[in-house]
Amino acid sequence: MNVPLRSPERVLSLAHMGVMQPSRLSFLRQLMRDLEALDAVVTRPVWEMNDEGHGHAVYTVTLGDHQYSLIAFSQHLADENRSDRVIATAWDAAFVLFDGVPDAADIARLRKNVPHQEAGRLTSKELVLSRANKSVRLFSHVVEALRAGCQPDRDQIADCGYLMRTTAVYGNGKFGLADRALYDDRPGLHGPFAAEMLAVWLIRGFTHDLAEHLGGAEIDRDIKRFLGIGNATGLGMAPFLVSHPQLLHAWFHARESALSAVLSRAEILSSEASALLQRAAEASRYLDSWAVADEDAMDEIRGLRREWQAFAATLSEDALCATHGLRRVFARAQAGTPALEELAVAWIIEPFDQEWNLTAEGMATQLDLPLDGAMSCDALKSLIEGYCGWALREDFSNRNATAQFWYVSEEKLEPRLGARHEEPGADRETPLDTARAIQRLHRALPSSDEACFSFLAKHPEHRAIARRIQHLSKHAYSEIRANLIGEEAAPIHLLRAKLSFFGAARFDPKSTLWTRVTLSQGLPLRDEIGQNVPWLPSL
Amino acid sequence: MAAEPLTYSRAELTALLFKAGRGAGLPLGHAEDLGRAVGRHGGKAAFAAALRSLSKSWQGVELELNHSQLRIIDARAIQALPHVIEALQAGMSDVVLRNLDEPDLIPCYLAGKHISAVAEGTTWRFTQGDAQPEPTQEAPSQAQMAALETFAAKTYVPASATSRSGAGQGADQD
Repeated sequence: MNVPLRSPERVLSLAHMGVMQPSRLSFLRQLMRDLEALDAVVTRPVWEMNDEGHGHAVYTVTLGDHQYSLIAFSQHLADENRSDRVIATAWDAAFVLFDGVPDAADIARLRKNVPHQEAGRLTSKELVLSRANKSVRLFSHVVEALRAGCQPDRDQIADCGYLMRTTAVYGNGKFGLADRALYDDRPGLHGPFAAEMLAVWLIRGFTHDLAEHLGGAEIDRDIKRFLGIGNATGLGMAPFLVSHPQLLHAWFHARESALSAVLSRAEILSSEASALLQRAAEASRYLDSWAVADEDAMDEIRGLRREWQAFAATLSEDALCATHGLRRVFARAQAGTPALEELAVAWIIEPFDQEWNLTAEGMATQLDLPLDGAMSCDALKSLIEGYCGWALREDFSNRNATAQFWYVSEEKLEPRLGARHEEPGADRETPLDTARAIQRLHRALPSSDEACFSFLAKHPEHRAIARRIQHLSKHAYSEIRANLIGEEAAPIHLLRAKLSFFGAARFDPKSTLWTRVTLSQGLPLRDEIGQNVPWLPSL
Repeated sequence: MAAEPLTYSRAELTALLFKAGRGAGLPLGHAEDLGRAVGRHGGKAAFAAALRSLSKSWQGVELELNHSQLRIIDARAIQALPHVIEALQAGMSDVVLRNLDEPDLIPCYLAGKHISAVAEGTTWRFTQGDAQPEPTQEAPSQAQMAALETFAAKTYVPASATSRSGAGQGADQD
């Protein structure tokens, strides 16, 4: 018997999206598998850094018949100018992923543009643009320890987990970069955000090299492997999940299909049960080492530690290998908090290569959403009533249901969140009001068997939402089941969901609007491709 | 900043056309269609046509449904061309757009679609047909980009002090 997929109403609620964890389907993990399958080789043909660690470096990776180069520019940055915010104009280091191997003219051109980030211009020879700031405290500690002939303090390493953190990673045509369509059929770059993930993983290696260059000695490999790359992410990432319903569906459907396939196994092998027990212990170690400054977030982590400990205590090889044992185990996780359930989802699919491998293909879909003009108004109305109950139940006569509005800031052209009833600008709001738009269309649709194209031609304000609803009826995971302009809607939940798909861990929320995370932590170093990849690393 | 001639990615153009459409007051769905059509497939002539279209105020569409024919009088391309595709898909045998204002947009909206377009003066007749070829893509001029940016800027809002609080201020060092 096949276990049905979890319902979109459950999975795409903010309560579940806001507690997601990285999994084997995360994009960084996919990249690691691709690098291994392609026998990728990374070299560092250029390292021109002065004694202060300023200069440039080039890392070249070969993937199939293509070569790509990360070019890193490192510069002096006064402490007072170091900012994670998107309004910053200078950074400790700036990066570009180049299509091929750059010559001197390329380097000269990029040196004029890359350090300026949004104020520069790129070309179709570049795939990804990024920048990073030092984690001042840990970077200095590591360099000083190496200079003193010691290894850095493991507690400090475990506490921070990265030497630098990126504050933006741009791809797919931004600022003149190559369109994703120009390279998404190439080996290793077909996965979602694959080029961005490749850049992030290479940047992490650069941060190790820079610290070792300044410290004059090597960092021990286990410490170096644990040092990921930090990332500070704010509102800019949140609207993506609404404006790309095709990808939202593809990602969640892949994960839920993997879960369903695993739970549909009537029995599992002893070796698979053993792997699950090892991964459960890995999760316990990770949770014990995950600490953040925000007290509310820390309370949630402590709660999850207790829940996981109790859950893991019920696990045994006999229980897991019993007929339908996995289903019973997962049902216990579902009886807990959403945080426990989502951690259990990521955990339970870990050892089952065949099941998740089948679902990972297609996670990078970019299909358009065509409008089916032949659909009758009656049929469209039925779709709303059948698939959008979550939106119809929202009470928009209550001011709290429209308390927020999203907009693009004039100063930096970045998404912002405003208070609708207190601030001006709602007349120019970014259309993330999906639930409200669904209700408006439902009210406006006539009872008629006429094709909807005629209605939509006369009422073009409903055109976009009609298209989304038609798509939703065929792609169940394409809409977040929440009113994103309501008082309670916190962007941090959207950030958590998207970042977990990237493979981010150690979520460290700084407010409901932005978070720090760590990427690539525990992943193989550039000369270790093919070696063991942990799910949730700890030092 | 950049010494080289500017180039634009299709993703950039698509996003800018979409924002410009919204800034010019197009309904969301039509702004999406404009972005995809002209952003992905447009050349200089299409960008010029799009800019002229965006300068006009949005108006209602006058539809005439007659058995299996749809006619739109005084058709504005950015409003009417999406309906051409959907009406033919819904079983109409032909769609007639009278006084079509910007025929240079036709190749962008119909790129890859199995629809033929025949002109008689300013009246255009659309029927099912062979797949339309991909139009020749050209980069828009910097002046065209600047004009589109002006439309897009109408959607921007000055950031409030409230919106900045909790968005990362004072927490940059670690």
